Amino acid sequence: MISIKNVSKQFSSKKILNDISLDIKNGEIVGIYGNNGSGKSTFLRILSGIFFPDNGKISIEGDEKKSEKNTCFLNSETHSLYERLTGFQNLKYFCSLFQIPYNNEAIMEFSKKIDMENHLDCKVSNYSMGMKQKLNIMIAFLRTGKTNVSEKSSIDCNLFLLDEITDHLDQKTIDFVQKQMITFSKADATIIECSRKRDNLHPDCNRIFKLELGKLEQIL
Amino acid sequence: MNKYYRHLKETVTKNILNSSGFKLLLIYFIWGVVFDLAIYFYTSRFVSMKQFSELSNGGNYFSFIILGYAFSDIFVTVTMSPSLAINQERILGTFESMLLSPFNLSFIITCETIIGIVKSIVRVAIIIVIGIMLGADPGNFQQFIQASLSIAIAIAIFFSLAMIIAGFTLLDRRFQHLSTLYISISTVFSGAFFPTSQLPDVLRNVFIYLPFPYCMNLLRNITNGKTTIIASITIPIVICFFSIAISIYFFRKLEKFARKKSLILRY
Repeated sequence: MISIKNVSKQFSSKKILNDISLDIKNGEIVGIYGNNGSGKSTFLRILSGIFFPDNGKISIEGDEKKSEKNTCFLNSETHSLYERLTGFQNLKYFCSLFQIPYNNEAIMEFSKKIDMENHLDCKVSNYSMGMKQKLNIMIAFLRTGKTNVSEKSSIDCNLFLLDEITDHLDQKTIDFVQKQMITFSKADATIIECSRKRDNLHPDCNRIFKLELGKLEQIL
Repeated sequence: MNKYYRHLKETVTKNILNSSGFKLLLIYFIWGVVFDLAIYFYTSRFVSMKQFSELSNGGNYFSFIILGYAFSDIFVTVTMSPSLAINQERILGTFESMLLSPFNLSFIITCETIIGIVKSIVRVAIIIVIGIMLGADPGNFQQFIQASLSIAIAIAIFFSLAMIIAGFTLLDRRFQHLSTLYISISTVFSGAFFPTSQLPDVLRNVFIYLPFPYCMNLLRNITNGKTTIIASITIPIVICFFSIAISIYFFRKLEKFARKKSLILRY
C-alpha cells in the first residue's frame, strides 16, 4: 500500500504538484497522463526518492523511509546507459549497482523475449532508440529478480514507476512489457505508469488520472 | 562475493572500458609529461640552490621539483575526481540510476574515482622513474616506504576535502570550479615548485597549514631524512580521521539538501 498525503513541489515560483493525496493498493496498476511539463516525471522522482517533496508525506507499506531497494524506476527521458560499453557490459555494471545477481543464462533468456539476444555484445552507441529502451527495460525488470514471464511467485520489487515505458518500442515488445506488468501486479507489486498520451497507458489500468495544473483528476 | 567489492570491481572495469576509446588522450598525456620533465630538467641546470635547506643532494633542484611535480599530480587528480565524476555522470544521464541504488552515493562516487587515482599513481611512478633516469636523487629504500605511507595518508586527506567540494557540486555543477581555485592557491604556496622559505613569513605561516603544503612539507622532510613517518604520523592521522568524518557528514547533508531542492540532477 502506498499512501501519498498532501504532496507539493515547487520549482522556482512554479507550483508543479499541488497538495496531491492518493492511496494505491498493492497489485494495482495506476495510469497517469498529462501534457509535457505537467509534472509526471517529477511526481515519479518524488515517489522513487530521488527528489524530496516540499510538503507532504509518502509512505510505502506504512514506512516513510522505505529504501529505494524495493522501487523500480524506469525513465525513458534519459537513456541511462554507457554508450561506449556493450549491452552485456552495461547489464553487468547496473546489476552490481542495484545489487542484482548477474545470471548470464537468465539474461539471454530474457533478451530473446524482446529480440535483443543478437545485440547485447554490440556497443550501445550503435543502438537505435528502441534498442536502448529495451536495454533499459531489461535493467529495470531484472531488479524484480525474475526474468520469466510465467513466474508468479513473489518478486523483489514492490513498486514500479514507469515513465513513458512504451516510447520507441515495437508492438511485440509493448505486448511483452504489458504482459509483464500484469505478472508483477499479480505478484502484489504496485505499478504507476505515466505517459503524455492516455492511449499509451496500459489497457488494464485499474485507475487513470490526469495530471494538470499540479492536481490529479481521476478519469477512470 | 561481497557486494561492495563487487561494485568496486564492476565500476573499475566499466571506467577502464569507457575510457579505452580515449587513446589520443593517453598519448596527449605522455606528451605533456615528457615536455614538463624536459623543461624542469633543463631549467634545473641553471638553478643552483645550495643555500636552501629544503634541497637534498647538494642543492639538486631537479630532485626537488620532480617530487613536487609528482605529488601535485596526485593532489590535483584526487581533488578534482569526485566532482568531475558527478558532472560526467550527469551529462551521460546515468546519475539518476546512481541515486536509485541501494548503495550510499558517497560510496558510488568513491568507486568512480578509484581508477583515476590509480592512474595518477601510475603516472607518478613514471615521472619518478624518468626523473631518476635523468639524474634525480633516488634516496634510499626506507625513505621510499615512508614516503609512500605519507602519500597514502595525504590521499585520504585530499579525498575527504574533495568530497566536500563534490557535495557542493550536487547543488550546482559550477561548484566544481571550487576545486580549481583550491588547487591553484594550495599549489602556489605548497613548496612543490619552489622552497617555501622564499615566501613572505605571513603567507608561509598561514598556508603551511593547508593540507597540500602541509603534506608536501612532510614528504620533503621524510625524503630528506629530516624526520621519520613514525615521528610525525600522529597529526596527519588525526587530521585524516577528522576530515573523513566531516566530509561524509557534509556530503550527506548536501545530498539531502540537493534532493530536497531538486538540484541533484540538474546540469
